[in-house]
Amino acid sequence: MPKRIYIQGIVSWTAYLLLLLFASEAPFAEAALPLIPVVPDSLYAEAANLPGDPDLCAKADPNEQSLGGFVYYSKLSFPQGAKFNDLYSRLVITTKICTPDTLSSNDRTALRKVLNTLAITDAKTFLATLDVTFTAAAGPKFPSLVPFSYAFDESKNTYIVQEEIQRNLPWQTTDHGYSLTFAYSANKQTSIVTGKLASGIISKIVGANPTTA
Amino acid sequence: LISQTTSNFLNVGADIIDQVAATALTDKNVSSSLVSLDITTDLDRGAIFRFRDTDNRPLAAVKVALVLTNSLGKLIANQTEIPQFTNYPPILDFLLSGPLSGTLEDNIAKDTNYKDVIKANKETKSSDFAQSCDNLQATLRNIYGLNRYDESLAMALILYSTQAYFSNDNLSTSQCFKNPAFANVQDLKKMGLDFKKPVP
Repeated sequence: MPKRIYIQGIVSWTAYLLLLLFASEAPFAEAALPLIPVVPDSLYAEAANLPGDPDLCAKADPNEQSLGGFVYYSKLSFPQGAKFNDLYSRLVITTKICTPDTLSSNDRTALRKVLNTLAITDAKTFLATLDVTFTAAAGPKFPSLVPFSYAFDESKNTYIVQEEIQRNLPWQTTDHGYSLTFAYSANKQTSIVTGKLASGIISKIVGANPTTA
Repeated sequence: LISQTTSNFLNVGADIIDQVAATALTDKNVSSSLVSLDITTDLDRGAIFRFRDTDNRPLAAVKVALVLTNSLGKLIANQTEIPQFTNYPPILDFLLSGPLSGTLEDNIAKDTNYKDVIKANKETKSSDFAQSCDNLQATLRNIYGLNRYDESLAMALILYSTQAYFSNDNLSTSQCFKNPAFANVQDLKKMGLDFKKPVP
């Protein structure tokens, strides 16, 4: 088995160029294989953001519908005629907080109003969760994601906003759909520590952008 | 098809989430909204969820959108054309996610059919070799979730690494990697790649 080049850590470009030079006479020597650059998350976010997509924090979105409980959604579509044979798809999840990370007095009041309307009082943690399942397969689903959460910081008497800016789910062959469940959970017993714990554990298990299906 | 890799990844994640739920999120679920994305029929690409306040101001928003590619060697390609390469991308070196750590090659190296293909020599019957190749391709597609193009790339790299494939007629003239039911050498041509005996 020939040796392979493993793309890990910092690549020495000088060494790489030398490898290419010496490997150029052997068409299938693996040293001649092109290095595929690690794709930064921002490129996936750009690819997932097509021209015409509405701004995440848009005050008004004509395609938006209410799902109740202060959840609104609008669907995004592929162009007519799009074909999906022999493709992979991956879901790119991006979150944007439309307020400052430490809520202003007005924002804090707004959040409390929402919580009160949802019959939640004295919530120490308020989490948004997103569950993704495959419609074509029973059973398995991705781990729950916590795209954003509010955790009460007693020392500052305000809610701290925590967000997971981007998450790329693994590639899958595109022969099925997805079901998305967006939900809120609140807890009166926990504090900012729980929010960090949940966020940290979830980030840890989902891992650093799995590369393949 | 959901690859075994992803299934394992999901199951482990679900277990840990259950633990988190048991310890941290025991309070009520205050709102739950289900949205289905039908990719192939309704052309759904994604959805934006917005969390608005009582005055309809957005407090936070979550966008869930699909990115497409035609080969893991391309990573991003919002197109349906056949992927084109000037050289073989190192598809066997791609890291798998979840509990199946390591590269694709690390994992398929444990497969009996892979071992049979790698160890084949001039004594190997053509029909046995072709059967091992078919079985290996089924594994690449059904267990590791490769699409037709990547299955083809992986098979080519495996056959190049056998050393024996191109030097033994019983192997090179077998139906290995030529079965129309699987990705085959014709797919490589469509991707602009040669599949011939390496230059010494």
